Amino acid sequence: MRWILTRREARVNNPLISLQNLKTYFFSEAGSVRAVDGLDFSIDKGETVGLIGESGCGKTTTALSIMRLLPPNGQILGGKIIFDDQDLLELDAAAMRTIRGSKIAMVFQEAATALNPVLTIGEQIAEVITLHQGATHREALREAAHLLEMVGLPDPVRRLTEYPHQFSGGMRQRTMLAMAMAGQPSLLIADEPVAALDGPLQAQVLELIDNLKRELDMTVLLITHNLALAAAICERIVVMYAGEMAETAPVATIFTAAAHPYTQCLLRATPQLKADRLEVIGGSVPDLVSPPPGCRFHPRCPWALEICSQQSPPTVEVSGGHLVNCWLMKQ
Amino acid sequence: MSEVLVEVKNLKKYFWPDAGWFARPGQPVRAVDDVDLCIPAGQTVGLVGESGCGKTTLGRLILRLIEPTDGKVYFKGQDITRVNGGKIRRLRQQMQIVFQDPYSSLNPRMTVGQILAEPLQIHHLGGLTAQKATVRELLDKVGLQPEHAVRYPHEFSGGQRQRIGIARALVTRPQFIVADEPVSALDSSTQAQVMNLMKNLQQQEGLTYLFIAHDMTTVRYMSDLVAVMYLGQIVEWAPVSEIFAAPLHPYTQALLSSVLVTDPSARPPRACLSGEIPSPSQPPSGCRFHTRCSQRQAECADHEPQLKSVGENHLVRCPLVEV
Ligand SMILES: Nc1ncnc2c1ncn2[C@@H]1O[C@H](COP(=O)(O)OP(=O)(O)OP(=O)(O)O)[C@@H](O)[C@H]1O
Ligand SMILES: [Mg+2]
Repeated sequence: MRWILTRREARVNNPLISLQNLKTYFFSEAGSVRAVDGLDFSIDKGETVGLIGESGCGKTTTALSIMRLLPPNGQILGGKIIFDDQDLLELDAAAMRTIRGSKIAMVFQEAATALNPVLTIGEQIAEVITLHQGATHREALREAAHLLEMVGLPDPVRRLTEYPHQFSGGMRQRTMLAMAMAGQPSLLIADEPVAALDGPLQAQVLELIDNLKRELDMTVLLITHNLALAAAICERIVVMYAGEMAETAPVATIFTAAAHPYTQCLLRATPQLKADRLEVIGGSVPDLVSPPPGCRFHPRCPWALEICSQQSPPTVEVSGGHLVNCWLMKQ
Repeated sequence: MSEVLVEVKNLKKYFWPDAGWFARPGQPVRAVDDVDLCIPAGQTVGLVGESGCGKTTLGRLILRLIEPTDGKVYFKGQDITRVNGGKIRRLRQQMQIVFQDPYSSLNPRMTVGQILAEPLQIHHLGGLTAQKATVRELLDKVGLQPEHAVRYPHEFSGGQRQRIGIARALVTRPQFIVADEPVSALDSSTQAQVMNLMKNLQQQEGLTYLFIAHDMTTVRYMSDLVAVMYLGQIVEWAPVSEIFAAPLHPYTQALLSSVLVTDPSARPPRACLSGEIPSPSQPPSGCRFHTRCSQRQAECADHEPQLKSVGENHLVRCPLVEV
């Protein structure tokens, strides 16, 4: 067992993007919401990483910070987001727009409802293409048909003339993916891309993301609260709790040798085809205006020690690429 | 075998084009098309299928929130398809619904206390003090605090709101609850909390549930019996252990194989069910599933199969399954 002394020493092979001590707060009447509070993780080129955690733990905020698309009351207060050797937080608005168009694309949570109901699918995809590639309307429509075909919509040319309400939930989600592909991004961030779909469609859309990733040589950050979804296509998992990373490990390790108590609790609370008992994690996600001191999970942790409520936990590398932020690892 | 609480016979609900935007002119949407169902008292029947297959419509027909096109619903042996007025109000006390969306199903302008007391006022149950006591008792039962009565829905998390929805369904002390995707909008750990709560309440109060879901794992966890629905029809019916250990209908098999499991060795995902569910206004000829069935034979498109009994309490609607 090897101790990590400074966070920057954490394993980095060939990262496409790395978040370093990222802090993003929201300012509201109740006070400042410490939604992301010192988050470190990186994603290697070509990797699919699953960012998981309960509702409200800061997953979307993390993604919006990378995109620099936070709502007006959200602010990045510190840290770095190194992408392709430059710190995204130092880019001006114009440079960031270029990155969003051509390097990093995001499919937003509840994206399927984000389509404009009064414009045809073709017009909406063409608009994105024109924006990113400066193509003529005609070229853009041809490209749009190509993109729809790529995401597996049959009869794409006819589909271009249809309106969002004529599409099922699964088709709308495919359309959103097609739009994200328009700028040929190297990093795709997909925020709960299948949460609104039923089982068979979930599997189809995940398989599509996996195929697109291989064909287009992308790196993927999949955001979900569902461990089973993440297991389906991810190589590595980052578990987040209350604005911080709890644990990261290769996917197989997470399911066979999870070390953080929160990950273990999450696994036991995940409905499975074989489990007869579901355990629940007592209590609920803390209010991020005044999160618990020390380890933020300690009030709900079945194994909390005295120190857990006093000091932030250390990052411990329990095996290659398996990092755990937990005092128990020191025992 | 326990007594039957709810029985459904030849139930049909057709929506004609002017009633729904998605149908082609002239063709009714056959949302529920000749369904028979038996729900034993004190048990949970899981109703599972893809979105758009008619699950929600069936649940609402049983509660008489919408009127059937044809067929009958019996509650404790009594035909309730024709009852009206005061009688239907008394029935509504005994049958309740929990909705899928904990965000939109609670009135944002009412406090939780008012939301919970409303059904008591509608049904004239108890005086003001008794009603207040009932609300407090219910909040406690679903794991909330008495102080929560004065707060508004937006002050609660998704899981807490779903608890409020369950508390509201329990106010009138019903015997039967239709839970329409009660956990689909929640994250996994909150799902576990809400499902455990529903199970505990079932034991304490002797409740009977119709648990509607598109997710096989939650159905497995909650149900005693499972009905699999496809395009308005029941295609398989069996005790939960049999559905999961030995599913017979190709659709049930496909639903099960599309379940994403937290077992990395089962990767990559196999989307065994290709394509999307056809429009219920123009169901395919013969077996309605034949267009997506991996085992289809030429004759599957010709004759509409009937539900066949293939074992004790196990029914299947597939021409390929031998009795
Ligand atoms: N605009 C905002 N103003 C104030 N607080 C916010 C805002 N947006 C998010 N938050 C808060 O920040 C925290 C993190 O929210 P975030 O949306 O990142 O969570 P999430 O992990 O994506 O959750 P979910 O799984 O529900 O999508 C939560 O406590 C949330 O209430
Ligand atoms: Mg989110």
